[in-house]
Formats: sequence, C-alpha cells, structure tokens
Amino acid sequence: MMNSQNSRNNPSQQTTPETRPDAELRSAPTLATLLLIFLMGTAAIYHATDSFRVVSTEDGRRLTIAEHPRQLPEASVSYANGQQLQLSQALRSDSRVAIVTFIYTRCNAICSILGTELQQMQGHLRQRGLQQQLRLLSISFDDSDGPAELSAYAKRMQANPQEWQFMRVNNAVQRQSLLDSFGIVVVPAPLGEFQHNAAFHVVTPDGKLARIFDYDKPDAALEYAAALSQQQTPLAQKQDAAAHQAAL
Amino acid sequence: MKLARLLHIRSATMPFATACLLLGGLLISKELLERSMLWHMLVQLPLLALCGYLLAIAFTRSAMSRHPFTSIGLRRLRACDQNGVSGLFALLFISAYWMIPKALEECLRLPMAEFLKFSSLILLGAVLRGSLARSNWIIQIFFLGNFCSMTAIAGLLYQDAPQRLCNAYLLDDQSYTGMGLVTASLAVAACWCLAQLPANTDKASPQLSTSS
Repeated sequence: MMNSQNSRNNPSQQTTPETRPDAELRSAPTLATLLLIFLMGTAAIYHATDSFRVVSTEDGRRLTIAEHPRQLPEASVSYANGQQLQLSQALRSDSRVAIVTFIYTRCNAICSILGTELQQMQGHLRQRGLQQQLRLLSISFDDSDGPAELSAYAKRMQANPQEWQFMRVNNAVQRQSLLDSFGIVVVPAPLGEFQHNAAFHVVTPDGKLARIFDYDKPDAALEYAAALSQQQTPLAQKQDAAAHQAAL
Repeated sequence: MKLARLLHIRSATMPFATACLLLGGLLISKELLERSMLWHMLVQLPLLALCGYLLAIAFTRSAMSRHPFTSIGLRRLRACDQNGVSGLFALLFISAYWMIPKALEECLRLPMAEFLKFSSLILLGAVLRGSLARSNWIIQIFFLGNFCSMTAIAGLLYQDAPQRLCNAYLLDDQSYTGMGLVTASLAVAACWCLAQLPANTDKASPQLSTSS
C-alpha cells in the first residue's frame, strides 16, 4: 500500500517545479537568445576583422596577401618606350623581383611622396649592388597615360631605365582586373585627381604578388624583396634546368 | 491618424506604405548613397532600421498579428526577449559590425554582404520596436548608453585616423563621417532624454515595480 502510494505521489512531486516555474526558468529563453546573439555577433565581427586583427580594408588586403600570395592575371602592357607585351612575359623575361607601385602621371599628392621614396630606393639599389636581383616597376592606372606621358614622368623622377621602369595597361577590362587582383581602389577626387591606396607591392618573376609594404616602409620592402630574390634564383635555375632536361 | 480614419484607411496601411516606399527609395538610391561614406553609414543604415521599425508597426496593427498561429509565434518571440534585452543586445552587435570600415566597404564589392546589410538592419529595426516597448528606462539607459558611447568613440577614431580606413572613400569623407557619428550619438541621447523626461515621474516607476 505504502509503496503504491509513493509511486503515485512521485510523478506529482516531479511536476511541481514545472507547474510553478521560477523566475529563472522563465528567463531561460531570453538568456539562450542572448547567448546566441553573443556567439553570432562575435563570430561575425571575428570574420569581418580577420580574427580581430584589422579594421581597415587596406590592412586586410596586406594581411591576406602576406598569408596567401596571389597569382596575378594576364594583361597586355606597354613600357614607356612603347614596347608592348604580356604582363607575365614582362615579369618572367626580366627575371628580377619587381617592387611594383601604382601611379598616374598627373598626380601631385601621394605619388610624389611615393616618387621620392622610389628615387631613394633606386639609390639604395645601386649602393647595395642589387640591380641584378631587383627592379622598380611603376604601373599607371590612368587611361590617358600613354608612352609619351610615362617617359616624361620617368624623366621628371630621374628614373634610371635599368632599375626603374614604367608601364601602362592597354586594355581597360584587363586593367581593372589587374587592379582588383592587387586590391587597388582608385577613387576620383576633386580637381580631376584620383585617390588610391599606395603601397610597395613585391612581385616575383613568376607573376605572384608576394607581399605588400606600406609606402613609409621602403627599407622593409627592399629587404624582403632582396631576400625573396635570393630564394627565387636557385629555384628558377632549377626550373630552367628541368625545362632543359625535358626539352632534351 | 484622424485623416486616415476619415479616408477609411486601415491603421496598418500607412506605416506599411511608408516602409515600402522607403525601402524602394533606398534600393533605387543604393549606389548614390554608397558613393559617400557619410551617406552610406549615417543615412542609409539608419533608414534601413527605420524601415524595419515601420514594418513592425504595420504588422502589430494589422489583423495578421491577431491570427492564432502568429500570436503563438509572437508569444514565443516575446519569451526570448524579456524586458527587451535581446533586441537591445542585438542593436549593439549589429551597429558595431557595420561601423567596422572593412565590413562596410565589403558591401560595395560583394552582393552577399549588401544583402546581409539590408536584411540585418531591417530585422533589427523590426525587433527594436517591441524591445523598446518592453524595456524599462534602466535597461534602455544601459543599452542605449553603451550604443551612444560606442558610436561616439568610433566617430572620434574615424576623425583621428591619419590613413583611409576604406579604400573606396576619401579621407575628408571619413572625417566628416566621424563628426557625423559623434553628432548622431549625441542626438540619440538627447532624443531619448526628451522622450523619457515627461513620462519619467508617473509612467516609468510603476513599470519598474511590475518588472521586478
């Protein structure tokens, strides 16, 4: 008798907390929602800031390239002397690591700062005898820059054609895809100027964007490019040797 | 309202029509507004939230909200948002997210990010309508105070940054946006005070006692 009564009583005892829910129990859905919002919000911000490391697009671009070097797309380009060729061909045939900058020849603002930095860099290249391993390459994103404008700009910058070359992209679609691949955003600014993100881009002869350096860190760019060219040379020779063997 | 009643317009129609017009306008003027950081962050984003807010008003006034099926759903949603804390918590995260320059700029490049921006802000506005009504002034002061201070600090950082935070926007535009963010945070705080002060003495205190 006692046992059966107990067993009958038991279910009712178990249900009492459910029939009379505490304040804590009632707030459970809200607390769960808060937790969900917290997790989703943190995950979104974590994703947008590249794991809490960057807030600006430019820093994000530099970080992405440093972690995943990017293969550049093909584009038809011309040097300031009018020589027309494909970008990959231009990079490979020179076989030096290129420090690429983007310019437009009418620029008065950031390009002239970049220009002086590049002039100094050109001097450093000579001093350290790195001309065989590195070169400077300025690419114009302005369609109105033809070979004539580029060579006038080169003269103004006192560029030595051996170490510092200038280039334009001939096709507008290819130019845009090249800029996209580099992550360069060109914004029209008042007075017919452009504003654009300026930096030193280290590009290997096999057409890979390896690293991006801020325009106030030319020395770091030079160091890195020099180190990279020393890594590249034996590899390129090996590839050449392999190609020779394959041909034989 | 009286005019609406005279014209035999149902009370839900006005906010619904306004929200639709606003959303249509925002979709059409998308590229125009996104050309400048100031208009993108301080006009488009708040208007999207306003759109959601109006839609929520239209929904609660419409017959749809009294349908048994939706009323169960609404009760469940309200259980997840006691005292409005969930909606206000979401306000902090969603506004913080869209104040990250990189996140804002991704909308220009990725259609997916653009869709996420529209939907998250409309949803936020819709949720906030109920959340603000359910929360008492102490909870509001906590969350809106946080929101205002975060916005003001972001505004100061935007004004101070020597470099461009978004590659697609000019440096001047960025510092104007910074000033705009500081102004917006002050405006939100001032509006909240104006809305609260007369009601503070007689309305908020009983609300407090019932919720505790």
